[in-house]
Amino acid sequence: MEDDPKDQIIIDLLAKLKNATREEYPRKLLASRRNQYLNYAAHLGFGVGIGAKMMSALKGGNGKAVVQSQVKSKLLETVLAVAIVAEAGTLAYFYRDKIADLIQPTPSASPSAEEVTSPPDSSSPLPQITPTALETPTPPMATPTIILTSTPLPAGTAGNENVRENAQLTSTPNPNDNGNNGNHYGQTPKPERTKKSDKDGKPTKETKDPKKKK
Amino acid sequence: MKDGVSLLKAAQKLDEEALTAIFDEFAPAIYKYTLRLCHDQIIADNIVGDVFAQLLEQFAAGKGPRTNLRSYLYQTAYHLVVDRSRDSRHNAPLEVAVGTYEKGQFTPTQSQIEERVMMEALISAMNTELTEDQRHVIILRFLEDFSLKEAAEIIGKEVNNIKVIQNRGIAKLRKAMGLHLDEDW
Repeated sequence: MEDDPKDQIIIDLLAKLKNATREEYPRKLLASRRNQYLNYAAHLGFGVGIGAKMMSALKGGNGKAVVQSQVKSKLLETVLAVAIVAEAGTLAYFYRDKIADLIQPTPSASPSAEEVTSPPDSSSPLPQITPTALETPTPPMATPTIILTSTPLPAGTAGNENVRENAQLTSTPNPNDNGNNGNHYGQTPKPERTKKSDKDGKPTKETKDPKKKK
Repeated sequence: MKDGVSLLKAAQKLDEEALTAIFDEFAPAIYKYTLRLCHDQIIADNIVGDVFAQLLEQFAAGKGPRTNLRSYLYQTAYHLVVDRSRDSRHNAPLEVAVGTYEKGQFTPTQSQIEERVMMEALISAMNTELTEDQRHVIILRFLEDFSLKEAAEIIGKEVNNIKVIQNRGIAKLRKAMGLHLDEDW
């Protein structure tokens, strides 16, 4: 490719373009960015810097008393922190049962409670609250209204259940009484005749069949 | 000054001197490169800040480049530019180069004027005729002097792909400037 003289011309032009570009980093921007960068490096390097200083102090690198005292204090701080953690761990190990109880109070009681209490709970309410007890009051609640309105009862037998039942039977007619097996044939009232009729009671021809006119 | 490898090793330990040396050496170049791509001084400056912040974070985490720091920094800058250009299609590379070229303090001769016309045509062709990849490869290869392998690492493609992209880019530029070449050469 680069043997082609036209390509070489392009490449030469690109090289000139590179040299012609003189856009520099503005000094103020560069200085501020550099400060930010170094501050960030110091922030990130805090932990690493301690280690490096400790290593250099152990190696006897600079030998300055201030640095050594700083290293000693940091070392002491670290040792104390380790001791505290170890002590806390040991205590936690010895009192692990109590800690477990605190975290989970009576972990074994809850399943047993479920086992013991659940059978009586499931069995006992059923006999006590029987469906008959609930259902029996409802029909008498409905029937007295019928009793009071339909047929007067003797005063002495007002509270008797048998009388109520008899009253209930009398309040609604027995379908077998009229011998029609519950059917009511011929009991519907006849409509009144409003149109004219001849002597025999038959309707007149005009009204009988209006289609024949056409 | 320390050589590249020892500088990197010192920087990985967050040695202040090494970190400062790295910034002073590479920050202006990264700024230039970013400015060519994004055409905004503030964005270029922000990207420089992000590039070096990421570098510090990598060093603090015990990671980061082991061999080619320059390529690593350009790669980071490239990714940041691409991320930003996705957010805002603000991309007019190399216009700044024209501006600075015009600001050059010299009395133009006839040949210099012709060269300037050629240069402007080249920049225009780079901005209009080339694809994003072609433009990046041309910038990395001929304006930043990266090798094919380094350009491939930065863009994240195979070396052969970079070669093909570069050849096609050059061919497009040659075709776009065909009239000028016929006139002037």
